[in-house]
Amino acid sequence: MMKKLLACVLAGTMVVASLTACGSTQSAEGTTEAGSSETAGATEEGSLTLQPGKLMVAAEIGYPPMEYFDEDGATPIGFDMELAQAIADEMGLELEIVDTAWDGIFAGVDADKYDVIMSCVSWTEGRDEEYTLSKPYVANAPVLVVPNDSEIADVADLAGKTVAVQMETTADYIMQEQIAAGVDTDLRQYEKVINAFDEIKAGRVDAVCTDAVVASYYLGDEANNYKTVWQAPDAEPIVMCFKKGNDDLKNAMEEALDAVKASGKLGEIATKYFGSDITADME
Amino acid sequence: MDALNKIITWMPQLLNGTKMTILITILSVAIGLVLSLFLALGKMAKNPLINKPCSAYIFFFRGTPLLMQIYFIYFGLPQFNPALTIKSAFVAAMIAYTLNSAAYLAENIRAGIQSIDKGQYEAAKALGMTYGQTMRHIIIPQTVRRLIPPVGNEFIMVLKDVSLVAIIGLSDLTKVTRAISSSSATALVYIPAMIIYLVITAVFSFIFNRLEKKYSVYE
Repeated sequence: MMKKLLACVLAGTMVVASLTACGSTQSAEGTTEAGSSETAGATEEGSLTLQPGKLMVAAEIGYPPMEYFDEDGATPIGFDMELAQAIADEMGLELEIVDTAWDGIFAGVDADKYDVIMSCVSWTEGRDEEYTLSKPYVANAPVLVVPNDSEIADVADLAGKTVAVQMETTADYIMQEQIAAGVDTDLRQYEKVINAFDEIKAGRVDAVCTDAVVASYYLGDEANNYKTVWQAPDAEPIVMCFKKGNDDLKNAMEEALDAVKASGKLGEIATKYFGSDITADME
Repeated sequence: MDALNKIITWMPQLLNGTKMTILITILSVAIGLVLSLFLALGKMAKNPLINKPCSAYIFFFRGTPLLMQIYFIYFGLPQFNPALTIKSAFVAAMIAYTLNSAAYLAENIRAGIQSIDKGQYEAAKALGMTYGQTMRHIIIPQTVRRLIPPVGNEFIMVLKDVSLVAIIGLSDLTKVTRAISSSSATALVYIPAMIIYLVITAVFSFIFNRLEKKYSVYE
């Protein structure tokens, strides 16, 4: 009996000890975080970024030609990635790309997991309220992609048809708005944008709604068999997304973006990935 | 109160997802159970033409992630041969879950059958029963009770694995929960969703416990 009691007491003490140990480290982290949120993002004095000398950029790598892996499957490439590198170089910072699932990418910037999201983030009113967004750097709008022989010519023709989107993207929201507005279409949501294209190639959906900048890439060799029939009326340009209130970093990166643009580097990257400089008349 | 009102407005969507989750779980475990009996007997067969393919099947489906199997069946097969295109995502999910749970259940059944005392086989043989008769009348009825706990276990595993169907565009309880969470910008919806999972698990645990008691009378 005594032995059991002793064992219980010992076990109890250990649990409490381990809990307090965790508690203390957490509170230590808590203080630095609390300190950082006051100065909005800057962890250490004088540093714009979470880690001094380092720019951490989040992207959902798997969205060509904006961000994807090179053929080695490990090197992030794409428009956003090269632009991030150019901006980091301009600012004299080391670039670290954080590959993050799209679902949860915004929560990560709030939680100070990285400094900025550069992952084909469209400007939306909702995002503008919740986050600090930079000025746009590329034009973009969701479009409808259908097979050449399709009868679908406009978004209204989707009634009674199926349309595939990547979930939680602007294209997804636009289709949900269309459904709310009375277009009776069957919306299929996928985690990866490539799956939406898999679906249309397998003939299981009638249309894909996706960003104009990625459509041609995914159709690949079969691009000639498909056409773009409709473009969302409110073009939603691509922006960099910061934690709400992180204006210091936003201003610094916008300045660097201007420098990259002025040097002609931005146009060069755009031509490389989109075939033409679609950043030319952005302002 | 505000939170409660929100949860009430989410309920219809959550229940729709729940329906999908339960439907896939029950159907795939039920069909998988039938398939697994043949796989288990096949794996124990002496003829290598029967036992090797059965072993290979079990090895494959237990040795590769279910996520990949679902993905491959739905998105992969059509790229190899358009004739292998499965039109409905629900049917593709059913096939994947059934094939996968059959592999796990087959091992449970084999373990169950092999746990029956050797004396039972010898007694059946002494009575002049064939292998088939022994299995049908002596071994499998005794195995059933021993199988109820592992089958219940598999059932609960599949229930939660159904959350993987989101990758082929189906809306199960987890997918619906995530969608609500991101559109409402709150994690509150995870609470009712987890409670629903617990309720389903509790109900089916109860059923499996009752079944176990019922079949225990033979032991």
